Amino acid sequence: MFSRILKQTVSKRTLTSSSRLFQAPTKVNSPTATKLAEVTGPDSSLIGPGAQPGTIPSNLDQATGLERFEMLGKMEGVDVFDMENPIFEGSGTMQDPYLVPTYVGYRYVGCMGKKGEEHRPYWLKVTCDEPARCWHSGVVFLGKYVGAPEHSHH
Amino acid sequence: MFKRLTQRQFVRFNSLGVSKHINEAAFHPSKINKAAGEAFVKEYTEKVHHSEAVTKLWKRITYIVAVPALIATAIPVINIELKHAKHREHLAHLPDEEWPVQYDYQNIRSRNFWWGDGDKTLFWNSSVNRHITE
Amino acid sequence: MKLKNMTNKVRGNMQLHPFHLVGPSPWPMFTSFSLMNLALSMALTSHGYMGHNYFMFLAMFVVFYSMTLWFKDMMAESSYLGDHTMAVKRGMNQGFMLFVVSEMLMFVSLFWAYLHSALNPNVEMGMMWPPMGMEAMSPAELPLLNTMMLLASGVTMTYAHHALMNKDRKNTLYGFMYSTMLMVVFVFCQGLEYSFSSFTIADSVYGSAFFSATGLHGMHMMMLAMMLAMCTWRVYNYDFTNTSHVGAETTMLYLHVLDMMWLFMYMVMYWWGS
Repeated sequence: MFSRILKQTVSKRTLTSSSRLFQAPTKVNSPTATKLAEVTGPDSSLIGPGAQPGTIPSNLDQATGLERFEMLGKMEGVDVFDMENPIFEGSGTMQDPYLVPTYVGYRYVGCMGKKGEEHRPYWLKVTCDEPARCWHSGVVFLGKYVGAPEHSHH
Repeated sequence: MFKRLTQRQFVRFNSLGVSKHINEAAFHPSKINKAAGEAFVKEYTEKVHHSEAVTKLWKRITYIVAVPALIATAIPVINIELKHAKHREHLAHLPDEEWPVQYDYQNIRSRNFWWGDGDKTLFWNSSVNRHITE
Repeated sequence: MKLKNMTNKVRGNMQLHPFHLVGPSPWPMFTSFSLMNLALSMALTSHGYMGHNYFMFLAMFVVFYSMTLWFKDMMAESSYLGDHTMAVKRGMNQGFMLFVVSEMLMFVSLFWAYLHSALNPNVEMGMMWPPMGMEAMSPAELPLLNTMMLLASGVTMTYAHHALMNKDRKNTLYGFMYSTMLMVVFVFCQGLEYSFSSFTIADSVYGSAFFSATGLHGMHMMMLAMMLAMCTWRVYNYDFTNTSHVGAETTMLYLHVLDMMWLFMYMVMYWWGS
């Protein structure tokens, strides 16, 4: 019994990345995306066509996965990771809280205060159930759920 | 019993179900900066073209400056080293008495080395290095 | 159906942040233990507790083996899995920069050791540098050729880098191959230089300081030769793209920094110190 378990565990997944690469099931049905809208997820739509023999490839030829996703975004002028300003709705009051987009039902937000009276980041766990209020500046945040259950894997 | 444990899938669903925004655009139009995207593509293509001339320049420097300079240095250096080699042959046959005087700070041995016969340093060359003990 | 923008449904399936949270990997632990083995077996061998050097060489082999496995994983993560976003690449470049700074400080300490004895040679050594009865290497001979080779490697490296950015595979390969060969020849010439030297590491503080400094540099040159060989192979293997080649960038930085280091070393230890 133990040998079978061992075999199963080993064949399922070992620790190294390259073996994960060979074993990870990848959907191979979507063609390579040339723009963000054609991306269908972390799958074959983010695998480039590869280099032409005898050339140095460009990132557009060869980047895969998240690197390719980021590059497609850059080419359209989109910061796909929303590093700068993820919040664009609301005004931060109790009646009209800042809406924090989240795919998993909560998101950590570092409140920096209102314009003109900035303070050091005060970290809040913002959920979709009730507004979260910064103890420092009184700015109000509320989660805006935009996801689906399967997004919670990440 | 272990079989079930190993096959168990730990799925962490959240309880919120599917959002009503699920089919909306992930990136709000206010966050799409077309100009920045065009600038990114432009910079990328310009970089490739710009480096074409620079590549040619450095290729030229490699073959016209670096290679001749290497050869010009190598020839005299090899000549000198061949002369030194002859001198070393002469040194190798020098009796111990004629070998230059060894000062206290030369050939310091506090204990044997752990390789060879324990007296020779790494890169020891018996035609130029000698440890004379009375 | 023609989509104008990516939907939340798709975006939510992708990683939301640009950072690479590495998966569980045995290599940090494996490398730590192999390095501990190397340190222990070297110390025990050199203090005469072992009586043979098999364990030391075995430990060295295992260190190289663990490095190979770890680098293989990193190459898979960057070239095949696409985990290296711009933020990740920036992080790796910064990490390498810190490594280079710490290396430089190590060289600074060796220069300090050298100059401490060289600037004020004490009376027991005849108040001269190199000490009485010792003959320094001539800076105009093999060391000059070595210097020229390192300067040339700086040129071929720049040649390779611009060719890489220009998507010129043939010239990139030539550039990296020339640089690798120059490094190998440098190490070979340095070996010749050492074996023709009239003084040894056990000949006064001059020999000790000289050989520890140039020896450390020589070991870095061996590392560099390996890194360059790896870069050549990766170019040959279509791993690098013209804008994404952190491995090549760090190797280039390392090469230039060590070239500079050699120039200082040549000026101070070979030229001024002879």
